[in-house]
Amino acid sequence: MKLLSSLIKEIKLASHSFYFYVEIGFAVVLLIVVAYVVPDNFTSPKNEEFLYFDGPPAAFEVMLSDIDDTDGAAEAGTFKVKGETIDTTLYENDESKYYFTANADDMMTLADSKNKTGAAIHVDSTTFKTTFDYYLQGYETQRLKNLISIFHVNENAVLETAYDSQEIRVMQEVPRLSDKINILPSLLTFNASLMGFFILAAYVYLDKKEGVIKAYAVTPSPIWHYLTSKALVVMLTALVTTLIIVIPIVGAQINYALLILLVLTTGFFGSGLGLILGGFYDDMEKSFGVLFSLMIVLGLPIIAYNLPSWDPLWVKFIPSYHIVYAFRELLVPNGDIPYVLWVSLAFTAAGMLLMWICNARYKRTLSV
Amino acid sequence: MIKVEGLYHSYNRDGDYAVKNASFEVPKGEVFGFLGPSGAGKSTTQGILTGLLRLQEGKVNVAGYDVKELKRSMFNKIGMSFEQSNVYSALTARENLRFYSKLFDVPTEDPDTLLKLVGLFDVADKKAGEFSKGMKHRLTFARSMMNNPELWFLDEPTTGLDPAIAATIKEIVREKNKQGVTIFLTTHNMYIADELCNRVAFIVDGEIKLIDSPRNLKLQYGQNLVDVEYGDGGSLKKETFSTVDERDIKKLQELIGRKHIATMHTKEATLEEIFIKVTGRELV
Repeated sequence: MKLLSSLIKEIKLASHSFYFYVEIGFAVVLLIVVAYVVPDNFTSPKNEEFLYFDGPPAAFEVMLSDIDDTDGAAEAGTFKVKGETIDTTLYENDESKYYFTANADDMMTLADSKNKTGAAIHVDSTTFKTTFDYYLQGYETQRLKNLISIFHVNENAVLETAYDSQEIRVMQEVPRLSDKINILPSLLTFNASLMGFFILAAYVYLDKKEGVIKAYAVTPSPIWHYLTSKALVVMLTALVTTLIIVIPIVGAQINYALLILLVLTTGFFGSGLGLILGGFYDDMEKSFGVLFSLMIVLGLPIIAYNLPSWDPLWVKFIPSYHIVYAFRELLVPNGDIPYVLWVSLAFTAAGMLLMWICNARYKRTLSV
Repeated sequence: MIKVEGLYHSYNRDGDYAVKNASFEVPKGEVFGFLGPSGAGKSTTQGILTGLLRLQEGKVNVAGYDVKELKRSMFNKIGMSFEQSNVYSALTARENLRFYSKLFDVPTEDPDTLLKLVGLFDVADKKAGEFSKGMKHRLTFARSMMNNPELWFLDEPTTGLDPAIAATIKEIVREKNKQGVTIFLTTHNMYIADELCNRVAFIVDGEIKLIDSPRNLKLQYGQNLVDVEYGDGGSLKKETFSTVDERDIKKLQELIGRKHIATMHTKEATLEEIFIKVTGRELV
């Protein structure tokens, strides 16, 4: 009864608080962005190459056959660089655009103005020996320079044969999500689980500022009721904001029972962190350094998730890493359900440990 | 109702004591005033008695509970009115009281009855955040009566209130005391202590300097003087006479016979004057 009364009070307070509407508003903004701004799949712009060819027409024909122009026709064009007009001939395939200039100087001017690498290709008309002059910008890595240096140690045909004979073995088939859906695990982790930690700390600071925490301390109601009611209201808010985003975007293609379980358990953990922070500091200003640092650390796995090439082992030890990937498993068809359950269980246990610490801490510091 | 023996408290546990060797008892039904200037150790002592501060050294028994092994059920028996108002700004006055009423295990007062008692019934549905400082203070005061406490802690109950409201608050305190409620009043206002308390304790620098009833203190430390205003040659003069000094008695008798007496008042020492005399400190 006391817990229910505390929970109703917390819901009333939350519904009157600025932070609650910030969370709801943030969820709505995310929904709009994901629904209307993020495409189903991102398309990357075509690579642009600036080239000058110096050699016999027959060799140029061979090169064009390698380029394999989409419509098989050259396209004349011009670039204006510092008031000077440079004529180009464009060939284009699915991956790149190749701009050929009339001379090496034009190629260098264009490459310079576009901050791109340019190349002059020389083919001897009698021996057909090919040489390349690369025009670099100066900031290229040594690895790229080394690659360019060794790239032409063999004839193109030899390189191509070697490339085609590379054996590529797929060790694990990773189900692919559309880019629109793939963005959701990061947003849900941040909005539902991490935001709760910040909001809960803010609620405690508000109570401390108003002194109501002292008034609560001189009632027979146990401290854990106070803590639990705060955590419950934050978990409830997390659930609402998650559903605001997920229902319109994903529809019925997700297991909602597991989603609710994951949001509540990870929200419980986030609430525990927020309560810990609230127990050690008196206001947002004093805790800002720790709060900000913790947000950054917990946000690192989100970066790792979005940059697959950056996935160091130590990131896996940050709890939010598993929140992101558990959300992902819920979104992929035939996702790893045992992993989601394991994450939910682990975060419930971690949340309970945090609440136990909070209970001891608040008993000592709730009052004066 | 309260028994304190050899109480010490140091915030930094470094031997710099906010309360030093405090011992006193408050029997059931008494209004006990704990008086001292800011920083004297009043709030620290009250914090320990109400479980808001952890007991470090000494023995403290409150309402039959050993504060060392604090049980939450103790709070069913005590009420606490804080000096600084501490109510939920986002909730109405009624919601504030209703919420607290559900936190007790004992029958509680009807929130509306309490709001009527402190003159806030008309604004029961107004958010506490829109209240004036005095109204918030009254709401905090009303909340402390929610569980009909046997032992009532009042911290500066009339501070910042206008005289009419302060008189109402004092009347409520008297009425509750008549009903048998024990009251522990913490204040630096000697007038309210004089009006309400059966006994007072003077505390300075964490040490209790004396404990006695205001009447005994006045008898012990007060001077027996009479202030007289009389007409003399068309002007009004003022003189003070001792009622124990033979020469002063004689002069006063002569004055009454020869002059027109405008006003005559016996002059008792105030608690504030006694406090300064005993402790050598002012009540700032």
